[in-house]
Amino acid sequence: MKKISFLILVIVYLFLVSPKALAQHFTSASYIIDWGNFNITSGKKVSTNYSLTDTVGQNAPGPYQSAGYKVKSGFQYIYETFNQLSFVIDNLDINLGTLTAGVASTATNIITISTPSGHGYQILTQYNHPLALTSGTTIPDTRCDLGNCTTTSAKTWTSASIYGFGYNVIGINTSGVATNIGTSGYFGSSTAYRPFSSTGKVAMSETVPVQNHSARVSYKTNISTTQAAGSYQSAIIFTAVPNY
Amino acid sequence: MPFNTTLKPAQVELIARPGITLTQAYNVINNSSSPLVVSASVLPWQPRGTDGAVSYEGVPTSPDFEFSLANSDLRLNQSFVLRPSENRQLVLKIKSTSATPQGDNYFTFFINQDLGGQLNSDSTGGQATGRLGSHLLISTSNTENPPSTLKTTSIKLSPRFTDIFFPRVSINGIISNESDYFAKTTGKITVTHRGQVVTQTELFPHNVLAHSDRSLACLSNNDPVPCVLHPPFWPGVYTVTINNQSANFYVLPFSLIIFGIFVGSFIYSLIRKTQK
Repeated sequence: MKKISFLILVIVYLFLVSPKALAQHFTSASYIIDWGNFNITSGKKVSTNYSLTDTVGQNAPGPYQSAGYKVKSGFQYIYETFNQLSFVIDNLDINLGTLTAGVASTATNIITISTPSGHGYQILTQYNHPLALTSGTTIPDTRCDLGNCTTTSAKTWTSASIYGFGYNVIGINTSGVATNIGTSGYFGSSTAYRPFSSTGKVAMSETVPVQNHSARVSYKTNISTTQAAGSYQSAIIFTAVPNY
Repeated sequence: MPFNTTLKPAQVELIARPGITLTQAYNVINNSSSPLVVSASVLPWQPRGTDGAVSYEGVPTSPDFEFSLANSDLRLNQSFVLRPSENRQLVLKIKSTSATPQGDNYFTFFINQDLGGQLNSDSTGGQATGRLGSHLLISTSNTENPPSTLKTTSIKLSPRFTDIFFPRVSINGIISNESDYFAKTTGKITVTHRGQVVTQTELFPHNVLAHSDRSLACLSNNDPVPCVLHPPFWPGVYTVTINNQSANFYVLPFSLIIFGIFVGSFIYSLIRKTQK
């Protein structure tokens, strides 16, 4: 009898003094979240040489499979597939400065893309309208030195007597040196320009997955002496999509 | 100020019955240190070429699909602000009519940067804006596994005549999908020589869309890579087979012949010199 009483006392004591189980319970005005397990630690840890993702304390993690079903149980699987698209434009302000007749004005920015696992990409360019004053006066689209470039075909534009507005895109490495990777099919060299289009035209693409592939976009305008003075404006849209 | 944005997932593939409503969650992340004004939109597309590229020009909007955002505070094409480093979840609601024809429809869910004000008018130039998209491949079908048929329609080997030591041989092929539903390329490239299998390489599971073609690629570390065969080769005929279609390339000992001629000429000249 003494033994049973002692055992009951011990159990009662354990219930009274044991710390409360800290189940993960979050509340806000709109939501209540109760986590289904006692997670000890989890997350993504990175050092100079290593990257570690972990979940400690999860119940029944792992892959389960039967006919017609596949279950991947565990938060760890959120890291399994890289299925995201990232796109960077380093400078959104395209400043061509004050224009001087017969002297080309240029500006540049850099675009960078990272694609999901297994997918290449396309980057399309377009403008909302040609470089224009609020009065509606425009700087025409460039036709390049021989008058033969189009919105999909870039040609050499170096002549100071050829007027207009155009752009060049050239693939670069991390040091900024031209490699033409991704752009060689659209712009043969850094002097090959083409005019913008009001609909998206491919300016850079690759068929394999990439991480942080960059290109330098050069905008160029050259005006004649008869071009009205003023600040000409346009909006340039860069669209990045993965290959399906 | 930069545009630095991530959208995930980058592609979603769905099979749905006509008349059903689906939801798909997207995460859009502003990786920059500046707030970003963006809006969401959906556009239809069609495949362009054989490399997985898409075209938005002249693609009519399907009357059988309605898109909206399930987020209580947002609508499609409505501007909202993404704070620096903010990760915002957008839930796209996809509703198809009961009259939706069986087959595929392809869309892109876009995150568009909005100018959010006037252009800088102090000097000539303009404002660049970014837009990134995630593809939606929707198969409308009453069955769980809609039927699709893929066929290898061409195999091109380059060069067709090669040396035993160089160069490498490139394998290019086109897979055609004549059905109404997209499917993934499966199978292997098998290379045989004198009836013996020399090598087998698994094809990358590219999507081949309905009534379109796709260039094949090989699988390497879960990514697509060009299919190539590296020398050395034995002289003779090699056969490359992809899903019951075959093509041959021929290996000749060009380098050995040239080397033999060179050595023979050298010996001959030595003999001629000693005879004099």
